[in-house]
Amino acid sequence: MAIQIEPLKCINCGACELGCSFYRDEVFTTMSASIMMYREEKRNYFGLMLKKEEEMVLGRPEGVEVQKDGESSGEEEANASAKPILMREPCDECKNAMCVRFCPTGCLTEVD
Amino acid sequence: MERITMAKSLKIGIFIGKGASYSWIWFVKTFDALDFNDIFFLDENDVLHGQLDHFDCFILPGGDPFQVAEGLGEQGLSLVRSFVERGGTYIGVCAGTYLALRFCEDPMPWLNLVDVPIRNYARTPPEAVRMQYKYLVPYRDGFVFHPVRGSLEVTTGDEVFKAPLYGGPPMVAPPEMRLLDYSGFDAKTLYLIDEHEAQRTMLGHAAGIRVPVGGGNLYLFGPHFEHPHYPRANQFLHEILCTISPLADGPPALPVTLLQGPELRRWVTSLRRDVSSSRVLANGLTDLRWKIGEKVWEDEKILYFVNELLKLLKDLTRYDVLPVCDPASLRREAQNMRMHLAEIRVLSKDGMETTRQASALIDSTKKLSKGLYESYFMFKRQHWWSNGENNRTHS
Amino acid sequence: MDNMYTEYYLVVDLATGTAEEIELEEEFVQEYVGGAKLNMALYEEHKDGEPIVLGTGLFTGTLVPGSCLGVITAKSPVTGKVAHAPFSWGAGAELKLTGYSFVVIKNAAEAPTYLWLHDEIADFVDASALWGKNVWDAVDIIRDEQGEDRIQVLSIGKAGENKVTTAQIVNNYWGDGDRFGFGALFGAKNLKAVAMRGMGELEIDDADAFIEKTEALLGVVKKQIAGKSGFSALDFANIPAALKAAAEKQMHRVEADFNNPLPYKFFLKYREDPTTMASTKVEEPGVLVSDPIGYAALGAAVAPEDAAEVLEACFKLGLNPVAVAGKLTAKDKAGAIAELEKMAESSKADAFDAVLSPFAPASERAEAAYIAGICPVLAAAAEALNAEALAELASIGTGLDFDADAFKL
Repeated sequence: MAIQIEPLKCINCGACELGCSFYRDEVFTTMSASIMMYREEKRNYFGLMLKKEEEMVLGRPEGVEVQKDGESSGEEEANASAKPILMREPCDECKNAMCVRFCPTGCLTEVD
Repeated sequence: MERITMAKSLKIGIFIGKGASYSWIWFVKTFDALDFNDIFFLDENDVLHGQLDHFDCFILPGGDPFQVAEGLGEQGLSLVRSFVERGGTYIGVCAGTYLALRFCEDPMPWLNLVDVPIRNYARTPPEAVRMQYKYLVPYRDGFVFHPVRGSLEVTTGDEVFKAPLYGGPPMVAPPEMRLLDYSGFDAKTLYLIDEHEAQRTMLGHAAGIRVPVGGGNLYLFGPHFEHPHYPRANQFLHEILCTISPLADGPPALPVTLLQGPELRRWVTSLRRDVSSSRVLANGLTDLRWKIGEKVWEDEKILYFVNELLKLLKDLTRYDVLPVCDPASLRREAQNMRMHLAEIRVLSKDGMETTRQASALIDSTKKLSKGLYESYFMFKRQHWWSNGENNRTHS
Repeated sequence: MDNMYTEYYLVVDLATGTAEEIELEEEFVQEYVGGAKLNMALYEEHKDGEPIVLGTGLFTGTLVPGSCLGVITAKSPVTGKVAHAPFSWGAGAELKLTGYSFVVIKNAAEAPTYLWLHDEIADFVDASALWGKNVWDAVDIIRDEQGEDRIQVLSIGKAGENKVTTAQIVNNYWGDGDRFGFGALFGAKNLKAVAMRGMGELEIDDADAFIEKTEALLGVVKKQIAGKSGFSALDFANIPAALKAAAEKQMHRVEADFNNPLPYKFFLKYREDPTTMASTKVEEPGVLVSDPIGYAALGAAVAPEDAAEVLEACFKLGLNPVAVAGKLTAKDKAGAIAELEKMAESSKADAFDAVLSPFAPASERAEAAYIAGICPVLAAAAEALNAEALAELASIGTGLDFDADAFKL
């Protein structure tokens, strides 16, 4: 089930990060979640980044944006045999997602 | 049991030079878990200086075969061929496999040791359904394409187990060469082409082969049997290693400094400090994906390495003694790593180019990793410790 | 300690610039549990060094609702007694995830210093360039120096540097629960800040059962706080109607501490249109009302529409708004801010008597919250977060045996 983000419902509590990290590693950490908080604290500008296999969904307060992965900022092209040597795994669209279950506001929902 | 004991004394050289992707660290973790301690790290200069003479096994891991070949050059490639012909064992995974295969009429001037076609090479490859940018690699008049990525099933004929694939080939090999075939996909397999097309391309074809060449052997794999999350695949690799007779003497011992007690703790702490700070910096770069927009900088690779180094350094805090080749140099590489990351952060925030710094960062990270893992395995081998006692723990 | 906490806690001697890791033993946790109670035990043990203890609760950093709380324990220059102040936002969880569930800070540094905690490393960083800087600038510099905006910082402004008892320890850019003048203690120790980046992990004993119970508890808590957000969560702050009306005109968004389902904090914008959602070039558009009681106190001293900006000035100077509001004589914004600048040089907080900070409403569940590491504002609002429920979860999560009495000071 894919995750839908409604950014204006987010209260930036980070329960989603904690929940997803727990799903992956069965420990409490914020470091291995596929979903990450983004915050410019003094400006009070905050949202969510959801890493997916081929794209990054940015739950911006001004509207959701999808960034296609693969274009690099340097000369090195994204490699066809590039390994997912990632600290963050892409969202695997698990059922009964922890991020949804522990989100206190309904900002995150599961959709087909 | 005797076979296993003998296998543990195999001298294994892992290529980490130009073109080797960070997946070499999977070999390190797997060999560590399997208690293989004669593990050494080679780059193209080591190969060119004839270092392969000292090894039983030479592993060419995943990465970019074009870059590997460029780094080794004709002379280096010739030395690898001689190594096998003289009786050495070459283990190729993914890029290491492509490097060894001659799979079209006019191949690239790589190793070309094994005449085995592959199923994922075509002039007009099938259409990609996802990940266009990761799907094709131009090769001569055609393309190497990747039908699937991720976890899939392989079979020995008697047994089925899982291994992950990130670009390796399905090989059309005669029965006497075949060790394993691709037998199926699973829920985590990602299809880059139509599913049925992927099945036709891959299933029933060789995922792993053994080819005798001269006095030696090549073991060529598509999937990453060394991936630490796939224990049965690791065990398969182990079983292969147990068939190899350890004959090599290992590389000449390098001068080492024996760090002990407070001096060792200070050195480890200073490295931990820089590696942890690098970790903070690298993690902070993730935010740049929000800002940079379409240009996505692959910061994750550095993070993986930094995480692994931090775990290793934490382990080393419990040691009372550690042999290290050039501790000051490793200290500098840790500082460099942090410095390059700090520079990248500043430049990226201003939307400026960071290729030079990224390249320097990768270089420092590799040198630091090599140095630390060399020390780690040196300690495990205890060859430097005359009475063979293990003084790992604090008193 | 294998579960819920870290392996070590830290004892820092600012005078010698040394930090000692001490194993956090199960027996110690079984006896004192965490938060204010365990802090107190550490305070007593290290009394000779006039310690400030930064501690976390048993549940801090876990999925238990409201698990954001850290506690500062020290002898208050305002009350004359040992007291406990909460710190939340992200700092509580961040502290534990640095690898140190508790940090005892003893003695005084010779020169301005900040403590930088990351991956079980404690660095003493020269803060001479930060001394004299306002809190916001100091936080920006520390985050830039160390490379990440997620670094959490407890710091002081001029007020703390001048050791005035109206000083407070500020949490990133925003005031927090220090009503006890602990900011002055930081100043006396030449400690500009404690910066933290928590990239560690916490294990749990019976993970499946813990998650099941935690999720069930969250369900009940959500029902008990349903509809409470921003003002509606702040009955305890007694915000008068005029101040609410002014705040509503400046209202940007509500938000919450780490893993806190109760978004009682809210951001007011007065330097740009509060309905602006995109990030603009305006660097400091407003202030997070992280201290609603403090905001209400200032709202009684100045014009309601100016209260937020005056609150910002308090935070930048590192002043406790409750301690200074009653001392303001100027009714205009500029005059009030000028007075605050003077108070940051010299002022004295009125004495009062409390052991737990009056930042949060008093409740039956406050003690348990301070020990468990749960937001006391949430605990006051949600009956489900009682000592019995917390004891059950604690036992499941640690594999030890806790009863409700464990969550009493």
